[in-house]
Amino acid sequence: MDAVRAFAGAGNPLIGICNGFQVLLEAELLPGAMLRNRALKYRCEHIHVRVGKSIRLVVEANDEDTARAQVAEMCDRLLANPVIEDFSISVVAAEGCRNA
Amino acid sequence: MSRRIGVVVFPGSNCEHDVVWALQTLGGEAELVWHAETKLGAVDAVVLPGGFAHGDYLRTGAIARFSPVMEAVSEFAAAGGPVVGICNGFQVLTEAGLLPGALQKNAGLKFRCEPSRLRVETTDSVLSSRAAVGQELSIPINHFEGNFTCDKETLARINDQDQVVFRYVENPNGSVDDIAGICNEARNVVGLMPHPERACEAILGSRDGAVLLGSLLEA
Repeated sequence: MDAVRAFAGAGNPLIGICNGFQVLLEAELLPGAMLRNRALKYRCEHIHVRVGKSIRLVVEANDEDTARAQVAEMCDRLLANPVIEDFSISVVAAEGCRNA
Repeated sequence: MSRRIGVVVFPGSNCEHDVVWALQTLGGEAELVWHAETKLGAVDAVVLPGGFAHGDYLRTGAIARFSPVMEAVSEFAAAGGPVVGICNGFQVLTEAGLLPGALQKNAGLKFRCEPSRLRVETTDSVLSSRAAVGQELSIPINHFEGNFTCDKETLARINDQDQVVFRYVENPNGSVDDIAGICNEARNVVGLMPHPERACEAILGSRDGAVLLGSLLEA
């Protein structure tokens, strides 16, 4: 762990998964701590995770580029604050859309 | 003192009457200005009070900056008129681009409602002219998103230009550089997370806010 700590200290990427996450917490390479699950049960299952915010909206446009430009403007003006947030846009054709 | 202060009311504002009361208690005049107004009327200064303008759903202050009154507030500020944003009002000013930076969730991810101690860092602002540099003030905070942040260049600039008006003595929310309140380059727009209007009478536990709102009445 001395070597890992030095590696992280030099700005290198370091990831702890599950028990590795707990190790990083104990090593104080990350803040906080893990407690026993609230229900006191071991859990092994699929879960969905989401990072940040996801906003779905429908726009009318003749092609994907126009739709993307409209949404980019919405993000710039309102949906994202560039000081604390960035954004990415994915476009899918709505059901029944003629220019899919 | 007969300064007339316009206190803007957005849907979801909830500290406007406290601000009006405090200003009147200090000898000023105050009137409420509904957010849908396009003119401010004959006011000498503007306060954006605390609350949850338009509900905070997307981001604090994000919708409020599109309220019709904000165009008048921006023009008023650009002309040198004193504008103060308290708590949610501070968030609105950053979203409107009238102040730099942004306010994100508190570092501890907890809503914090408690007295806070502030240190006055400059008296060259419309909200601190009657205070003294280094003076400590006891003024309550009441927020979830009070964690001030900005990029390194902006932080260096606001420090170099003496735009940090207040710092927390004990940082309650993770704000960069303990920043509790800042002003713009022209020093006529000030935003702060603590609520001076809640500390203007002895019965409230502190009168330390009076020196700040008193400064605004003289600005």
